[in-house]
Amino acid sequence: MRALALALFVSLPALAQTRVEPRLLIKEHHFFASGGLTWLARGDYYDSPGLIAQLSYYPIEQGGLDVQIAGLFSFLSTSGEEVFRVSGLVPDAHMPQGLLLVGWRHTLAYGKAAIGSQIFHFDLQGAGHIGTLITDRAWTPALSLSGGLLVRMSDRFFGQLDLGLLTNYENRQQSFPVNFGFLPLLSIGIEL
Amino acid sequence: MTTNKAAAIGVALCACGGTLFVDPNPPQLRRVVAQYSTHGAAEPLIYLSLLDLYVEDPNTCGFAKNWFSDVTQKAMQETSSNQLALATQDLAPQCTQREGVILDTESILRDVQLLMANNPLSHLRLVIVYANNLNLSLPPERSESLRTLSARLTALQGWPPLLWLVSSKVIAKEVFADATSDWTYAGDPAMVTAFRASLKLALPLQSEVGTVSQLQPLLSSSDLGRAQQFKLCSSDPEATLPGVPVLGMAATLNRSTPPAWQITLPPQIAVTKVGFTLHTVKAQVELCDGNCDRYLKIDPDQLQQSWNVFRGCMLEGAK
Repeated sequence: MRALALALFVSLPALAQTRVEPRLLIKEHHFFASGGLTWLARGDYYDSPGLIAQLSYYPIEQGGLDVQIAGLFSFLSTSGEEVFRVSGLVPDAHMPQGLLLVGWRHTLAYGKAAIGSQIFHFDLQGAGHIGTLITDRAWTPALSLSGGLLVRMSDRFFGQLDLGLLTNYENRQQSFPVNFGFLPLLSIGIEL
Repeated sequence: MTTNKAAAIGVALCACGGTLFVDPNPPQLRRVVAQYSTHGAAEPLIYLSLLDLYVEDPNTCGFAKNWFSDVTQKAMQETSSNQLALATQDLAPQCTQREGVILDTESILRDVQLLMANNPLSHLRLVIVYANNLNLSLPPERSESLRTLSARLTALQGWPPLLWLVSSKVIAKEVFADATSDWTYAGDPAMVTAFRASLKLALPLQSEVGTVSQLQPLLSSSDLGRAQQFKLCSSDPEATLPGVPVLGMAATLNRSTPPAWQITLPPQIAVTKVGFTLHTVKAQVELCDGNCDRYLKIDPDQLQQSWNVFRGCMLEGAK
């Protein structure tokens, strides 16, 4: 009984200060343009960092169309370089050079987080894309699935983090032609 | 050693990921097939009809003999435009088979000798059409006379005559003949059709004189111009390739002494069309136009192999 009285005594002033943070990350009928960094890792003995540009348009609050264009600056990984140096052999995988994907981005949940004195509004999103992985030899059909966060940073600016799985089909001299890779991307953009 | 180590490193690494290592400048390979073909030559068709018929009704004896002689003549004419008939020997003039007529071997041999003298470049082989319609065993003297004729012709010509039996099944089982046709009855159109068809399948006889060719180039001039090295992948036993390395070994192409081959074919003299074998002798060669010391893999489980070190051809099944 004494504990309950003490709890009421402590919480009543706090309840008096509670305020509701309104939803600030509004996407419906807005364009989101961003640019950033990406890295395609698919176990092909190439390191493939890149620059990516994204443009999304949300006809509805829950989802939007998305276009991604990336330039990848692939080079032989250290182990691949070592094999090449010693034997002159190179991976039979194509060397990734770019990505061109279109797809749909869908909001799974909306959240807010207080970090220090800042409150961040964000979307937890899932996305699916199809398009092409451009390699040194061909434009290969590609498909990606990703999940990530769209984070409001200010009235106009936002950040986006996607962790994706990319698969593509490419004709290889010896190994299996269907490949899977990890495709994280981090970008900062402006809401239009 | 370094190469093997490198390949091993490559394979080891490949096993970890889904990617395999390949040579960015693989050997430029192609396969060519050298081929030597011969064709048989049709020999003049010489034939002899031996009539040994039994006809109960003496009135139809002449008809039966004329009918069969006519059928034989027409069938032979259809078979070959270059045909010569020896005089028919009638061994049963009264169609009783008891006349005791003896096969005139000497006259046959004389005729054949004459024909051989007139056709010195041909390989004449007498086709003996022996017609006997009686469904009984041949009298021993008749079998003996046929054997004697065969032996003497063999001695004369160097090869036996071709005995074509038109008879009952009983005789066909007893007499060793090169070909048989069933005798049904005189005037049977079905018998004529079958006889003609079987003659057409076998005649005229074909010859191919055994060949030992001159040494001739294994590769065409365009192949010689492009290729740097070569390997012999396979060759038929009739081919000999002097100076060419053993199967699967790489050799540098020397344009002043290009690889050559020689063909040795066994003779086939005056054999039936169905028995005649057309000879085509082949040799497969793998040519390397560049990067001949570079790597290829012929089996997913194997290491990359340098083409001119690896013993064997690689293009077939190469990855």
